[in-house]
Amino acid sequence: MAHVMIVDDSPTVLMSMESLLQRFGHTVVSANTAEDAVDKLRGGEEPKMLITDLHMPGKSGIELIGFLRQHPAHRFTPMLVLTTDSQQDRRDQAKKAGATGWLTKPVDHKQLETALQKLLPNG
Amino acid sequence: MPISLTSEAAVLDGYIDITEVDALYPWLQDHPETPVDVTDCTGAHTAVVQVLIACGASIQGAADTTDWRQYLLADRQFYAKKRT
Amino acid sequence: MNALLTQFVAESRDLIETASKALLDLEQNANDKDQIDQLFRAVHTIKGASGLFEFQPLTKTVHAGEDLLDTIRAGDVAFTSEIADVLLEMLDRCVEWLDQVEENEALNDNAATIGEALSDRLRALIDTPVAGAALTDDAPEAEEVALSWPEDIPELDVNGAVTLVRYTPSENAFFTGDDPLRTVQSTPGLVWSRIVPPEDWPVSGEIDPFMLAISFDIVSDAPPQEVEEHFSYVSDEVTFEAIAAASDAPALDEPLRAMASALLASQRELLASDQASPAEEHCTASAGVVLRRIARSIGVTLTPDLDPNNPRATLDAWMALLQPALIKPAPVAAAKPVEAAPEEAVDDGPEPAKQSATPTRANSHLRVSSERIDTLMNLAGELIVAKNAMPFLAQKAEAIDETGELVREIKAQHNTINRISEELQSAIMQIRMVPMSTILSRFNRLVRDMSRKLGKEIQYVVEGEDTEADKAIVDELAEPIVHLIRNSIDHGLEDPAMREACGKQRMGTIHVKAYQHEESVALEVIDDGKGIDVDTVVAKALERGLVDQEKVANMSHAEALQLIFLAGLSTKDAVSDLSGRGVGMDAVASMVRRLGGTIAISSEKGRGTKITMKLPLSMAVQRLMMVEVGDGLYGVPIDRVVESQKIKSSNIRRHRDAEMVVMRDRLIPLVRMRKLFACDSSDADDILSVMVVDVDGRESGLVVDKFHPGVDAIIKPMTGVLSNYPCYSGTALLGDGSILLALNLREIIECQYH
Repeated sequence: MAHVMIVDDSPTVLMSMESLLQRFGHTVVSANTAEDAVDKLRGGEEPKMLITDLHMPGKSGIELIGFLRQHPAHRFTPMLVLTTDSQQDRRDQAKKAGATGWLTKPVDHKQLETALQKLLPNG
Repeated sequence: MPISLTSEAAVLDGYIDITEVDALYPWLQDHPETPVDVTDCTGAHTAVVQVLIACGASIQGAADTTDWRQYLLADRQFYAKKRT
Repeated sequence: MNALLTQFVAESRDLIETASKALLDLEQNANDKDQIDQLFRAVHTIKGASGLFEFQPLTKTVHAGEDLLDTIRAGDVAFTSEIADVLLEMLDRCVEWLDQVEENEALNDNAATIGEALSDRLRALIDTPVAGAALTDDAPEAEEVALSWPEDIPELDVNGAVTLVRYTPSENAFFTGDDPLRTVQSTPGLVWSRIVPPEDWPVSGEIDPFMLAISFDIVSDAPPQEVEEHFSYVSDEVTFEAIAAASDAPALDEPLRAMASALLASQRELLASDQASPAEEHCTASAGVVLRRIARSIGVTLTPDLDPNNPRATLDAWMALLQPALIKPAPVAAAKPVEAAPEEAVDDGPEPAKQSATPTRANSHLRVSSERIDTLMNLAGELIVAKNAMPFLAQKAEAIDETGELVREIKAQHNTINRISEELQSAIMQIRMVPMSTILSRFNRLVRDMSRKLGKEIQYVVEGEDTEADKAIVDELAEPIVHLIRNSIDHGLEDPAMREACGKQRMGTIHVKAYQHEESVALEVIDDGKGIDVDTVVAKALERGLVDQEKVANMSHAEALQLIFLAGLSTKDAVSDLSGRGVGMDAVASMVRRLGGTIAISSEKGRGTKITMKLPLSMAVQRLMMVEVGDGLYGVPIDRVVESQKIKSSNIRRHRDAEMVVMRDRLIPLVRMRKLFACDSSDADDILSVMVVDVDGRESGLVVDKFHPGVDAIIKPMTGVLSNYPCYSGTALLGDGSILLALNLREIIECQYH
C-alpha cells in the first residue's frame, strides 16, 4: 500500500486513475495542474509515487518532474508520465528530466499493476 | 522503527528505503565488523543493498533465505575479488 | 493447422507476391529506393514470422536473403540481374516450402540441404567480407539457434530457451526514482539473478552511496518479449541474449562426440594422476565443470548433485553416466536427428509464449478462408433455389383461395425474399471478387524468365488489372493465360534481329488486357509477333480430317482461324509446321469452355495475334431456361438462348440427314432432343418447340417438348457415373425438390454432327 499523487487536468483521467489505484489498495491525492501538485506537496503530502500528465495548462508534466527532482524529499520518488503511444520523443524527454517511466493512455488495470510492481516496494 | 543502529548491531526491520542510507552508510564505516541483522528485513532499496555489499557488512539472519537477502550472501568471494 | 500457422502461411504468400513484384520492378529500375525498401521489408517480415516456428531452413534462407538486401539497401552491393535471379529462386523455394508447410505442417527432409545451398549462394553475393557483421547486428531478433551458455553464468537447470539480461543502470538511476533491484526481482519468469559489482569498487570511505555502481545479470524463462517489455523503461541500459538450455543443445555430430570422449578420458586421467595432491581441489572443480558441459551438449542429465565432501565419487558417477552416451550415439541425441526436430516442434504447436509475438495487423481486412465463403455462397444459393418454391406454392394456393388474397400475399412475399436473396448473393459474390492483378502480376516472372532463356527482348504490359472476377474464375484462368503467353513468346514473337529485319522494334510486346464486358470478364492476350498463317492451319485441319473441303470453302478468314482450337489439330509434331503456333491451343480452349467461357482468335500475318477469352464473372448461380424433353427437365444457360419459337414441322428442310429451319432469314440446323436422349419419337407433332441457342457463334435449334420459365440455380458439377456423360454440365436442385440437368450445349451440338 502506498500513497500516490496523480496530476492531470482531465477530471475523467483523475477519476479513473483514482479508482484503479484504490482498487490496488493505494491512497491517492489528486492535483489538476503542476502548480496545484506543488502546493499540495508543500502542504505536507508525501506520496511514494507520482503520476503526471504531460500537457497541462501552466507548467508541463516534464517541468514538474524536473522541478521536483531538485527537492531532496522527491529525489528518489518514482515518477511516471502519462503518454500516448506515439509520443516516443516525449518519453525520452521525460526520462531526461528525471521521470522513471511512463504509462500509455488509456491506462488499464494490467498496465498499472505491472508498473507498480516494478517501482514500489511491496507494490 | 525500520532501522536501529547501535554499537552492538544494526537491526533492519521491514522495508528499508533509500533514505535510510543517509544513516546506514556512516554507521557501516564506523562499525566495519559489527553484524547487520536482516532477520526481519522484508526488503530493501537497491541503494541499501549496494552499500551493504560495498562495505562488506557482516550479515546475520540471511542464511537459509531464498529471497532478496541472497544477494547479500551470494558469492562473498566474488564481491571481495572485485573489490581489490 | 493451427490459426497462427495458417496466418503465417497466408501472410507469407502475400509478402512473397509483394517481394516478387518489387524485384521485377527493380530490374527495370535498380535505383528505386522504395522498391528496395518494400522488398527488404517483405523479406524481413517473412523471416521474422517464420522464426515463430521451427522451419529453420526457411528462416535461414530468408535471413540470408534479408542480409543480402540489407547490403543492397545500404548501397554496399549493386543490384544486378544475377542477384535478382537468386532472390527469385529464393522466393520460389519459399513458395514450395509454404506448400509443404500447408500440407504437412513441416518441411520436407531435403529442405535443410536445399536451404543451406541457397543461403550460401545468397551470402556469396554479399560482396563485403564482413557478412557476419550483418548477422550480429540484429542478433537479438534474428536468433534461430540460441547462443551457447555464457562462460560467466553458473550452470542453471532450465528447460527450453531462456533469456539472459545484462542490466547496467546509469549511475544516476536513483535520482530518476529507479530501484533497479526491484525491477530485477520482479522480472517475469525470473530463474536466477545476481548483482555484479563494479570492476573498481572505490575504497569504503569514498563510496557515494547514492551513485549506482553495481549492475545485474538476470536469467528468465519468460518469453523474450515479456522480458523486454519488463525492462522497457530502461531499454537503453539492458542487453538481451537468448541462451541455449540443455534440452535445446544441438545433437552431437561425430567429430563433437569424439571430442567429448577425448575430454572425458583426459578428465579421468587428471583425476587418477593427482590423488591427494594439494591441487586436488582445483582438479575436481575443473573436472566438474567440464563434465557438466559435456552432459549439457549431449543432453544428459547428471545425477546425483555434486557431493562437496566426496566430489571424486560424484565425478566418477557422472563419468559412468556419460561414457555410454558417448561410445554409441547418445540416446537423446540419436532420437532427435536434426531433420526430425522441426516436425516435432510443430506437432506441439508453437508455445503460447511465442504466440504472443504474432505480428498484429493494423488494417481492417479480414482474412477468411475461401471455404467459409463458399459455404456462405452455397447457402445463399440454396435460399435462392428454395425461394423458387414460392411460385409453385402460389399456384397451389390459387386452387383453394377464392379471394386471391393468399396468392397475392405469397407473391408479395416472394418478391421480398427474391430481392433479399439476390442482394445477399451479390454481396457474397462481391466478397469473392478479386482483381485480375492477383494472377496477372505473376506472369511478369514468366515473361522475364522465358525471354532471358530464349534471348528475346520482351515487354510485358498489363492493362485493366483491377478488373474483378470471381476468385474461382480468376484462379482457373491462370493456366490458360500461361499457355497463351508461352505460345506468344515461344512461337509468336521473333528474336530481336528478325524483328529489326522486318522493320519492327527490337523489343516485342505481350499485352494482356482485362476488362468487364456485360456479365462477363474478358481477357485478351495480344502479341506483336509474326502472326498465324491461316492457310497452314486450314491445310493441317484438312490433312487430319477435322474438317471437310466443302466446309472450308464456305469459311471466312476469321472462321478458318478458329480451327486452331479444334481438338487434334495442334499435336506436338504439328508445331513447327504451323508457324510454330498452336501448342495446346485446343487444351486452352477446352479449359476456357469448361469454365463456361468462350475463346476466339484473330491474327494478321506479320503483325501479331490476339486471343480473346470471355468468362462468366461468377460461377456460382446461373439463370437457366428450363425445357422439357420426354418427361425430364433440362436447363440451358440463359445467355446462350437466342430465342424460343414454335414452328410448323412443314417448315423443316432436309439436307441429307440434317434438318434445318429458316428463321429470320437464317438457316438453323435442328437438334432433335428426344432422339438424342433416345426417347420415344413424337415427330407426329405438327408444331415443334425450338429453342435457338448460340454456341461459339453458331446457332442451333433444340427441338424440345415444352418450354418452362427461367430459374436461378446453382449448377453443381456432375459426380459419380453421371460425370461420364459429357452432354450434361451439371445438376441443379429445384425449389420443388426435383433435379434439373444442365445441358452442355457444345457437346450436344457436337453429338449431332458426329
